[in-house]
Amino acid sequence: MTERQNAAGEKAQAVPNESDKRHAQSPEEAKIWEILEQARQKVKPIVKKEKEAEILTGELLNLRLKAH
Amino acid sequence: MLSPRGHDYPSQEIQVVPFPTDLSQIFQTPRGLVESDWPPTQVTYLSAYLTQLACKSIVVENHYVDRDYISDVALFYSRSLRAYPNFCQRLHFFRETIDQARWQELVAESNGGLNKTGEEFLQRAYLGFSVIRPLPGSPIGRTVLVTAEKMTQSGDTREFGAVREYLVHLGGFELNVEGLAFQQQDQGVSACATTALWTAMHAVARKEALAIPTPADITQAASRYVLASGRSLPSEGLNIQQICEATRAAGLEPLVMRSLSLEQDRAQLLGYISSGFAPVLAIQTMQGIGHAVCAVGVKLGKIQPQSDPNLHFRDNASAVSVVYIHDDRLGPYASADLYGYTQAHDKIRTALRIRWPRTENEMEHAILDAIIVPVPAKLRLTVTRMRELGLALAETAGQLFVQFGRNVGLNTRYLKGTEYRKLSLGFGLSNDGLYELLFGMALSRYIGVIEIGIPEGPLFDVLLDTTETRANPAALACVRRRLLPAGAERELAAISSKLGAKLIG
Repeated sequence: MTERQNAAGEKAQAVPNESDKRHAQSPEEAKIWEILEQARQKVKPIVKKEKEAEILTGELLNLRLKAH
Repeated sequence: MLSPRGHDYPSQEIQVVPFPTDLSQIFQTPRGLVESDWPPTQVTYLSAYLTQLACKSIVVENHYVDRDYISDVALFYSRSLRAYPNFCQRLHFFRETIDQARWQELVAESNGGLNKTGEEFLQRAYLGFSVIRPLPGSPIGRTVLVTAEKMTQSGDTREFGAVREYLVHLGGFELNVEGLAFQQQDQGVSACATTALWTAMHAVARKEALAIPTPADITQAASRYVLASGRSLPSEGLNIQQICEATRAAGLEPLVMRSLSLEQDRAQLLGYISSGFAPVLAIQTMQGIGHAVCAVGVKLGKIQPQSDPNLHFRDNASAVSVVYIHDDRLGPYASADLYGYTQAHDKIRTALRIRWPRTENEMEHAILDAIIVPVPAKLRLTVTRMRELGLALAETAGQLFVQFGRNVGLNTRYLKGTEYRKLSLGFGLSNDGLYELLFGMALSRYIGVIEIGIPEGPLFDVLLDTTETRANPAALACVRRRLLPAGAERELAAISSKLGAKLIG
């Protein structure tokens, strides 16, 4: 398991998923898998920020909309 | 002797009138003191919008039973001292000059049932309709009008993804209008949030063959368990929790997202609107008053270059410059420019500059607080989850296809599986690939489509099962598109094997 430092300075672990346990059929395929994995790590800060939008607060849910 | 009341059947009368320079001329000023200004802003707005659509004539149906209004009457107005009628009038707008004589000619030409020229003439000129309620201060009921043309003068494109077709019966004529229903809040049964959610339901309920709730249904469902204020009627507005409650009562599920940044909000808006959903936007005026509008379209300009030098792709959502909204204080398809607004402590929020149609006349500025999207219950994979995989795929493609010079773009949306299959007939797939996509695999009712492309068109799509909750294990297929460079099939095959998805080439 490798440990990387992402752009936000946070420790991000490249946890192997189900497909990582399989072996690439060729060196070329392995190279593309590696690029995909690196890309996944690179965009993690963006993904993390986007997921924060799904965290809701009571204040937001009680926001009253009544303009006329 | 008592005079009989209400024993007679109503009569129908059609009037044909030229479109006036000011639509408010055909409304009577209500008697007595009206709290708001007269004419209402919504009437003035409709007048301006229809003038821009080059409206020339109005056909007035003087007795029209409107499902939404009669439901308001049953719930609320029937218990008023004033005897509100249970019917409305309906105005049909045409871009051709029609007078009473021409109208009668059109009917005569159609007599016999064989000649369709009258109906065809009316259809070509049809701009939509507006139901006029017998409510003195809030006359504008269900209104469906055509949208502005796709291309703007500056070369940007307008995408009204959430509009749909409405079938309209005018006497024996059958007309169609593509738009999305708007109405003015009456402040009796509905406030802004009710009408915004009602518009959103018009977009999605039809897709799922669900009955569209009336504003009265929405207000009742919203206040069944939670009350934002002391009473439900007259409506004093809804909170987001109530909007969610009313959405669930209609057989749909609400997706709620906080507004965190302009980039992110653009991506959410584009993702949902281009998929045919109409998000309700919870906004706050600069005076701190909460308001709800419904987003029905976007304006797309140029896709912005990547701001992070370490990344090799562009986000197509960066092209969203304007969101078109139904604002019940104003009218349908109002322009709202999206921009970053710096608040105290340098916090940057997404703001909207709401304008009158195709003018620089500002209505107001507002801050976006949240986006609420009513979606079908089985659509569980959110745009955020789709983008989680999509961002990684776009970055991978940007690195693999260097010949495109960082012009590789990411787009995410939902499509019905059946629609995608139909579209795939034009993808230029091999016969085996096409057969596999059409008959060799099962697709969820809605599929998530991650489209990786360049400005000229798509390179490949990744199809996701939207009944799943996370993007990665939900990949169904990688589909080759026309512009994938020759010899790049191996790269696509490697990506699909990594995702555990079928390769369709």
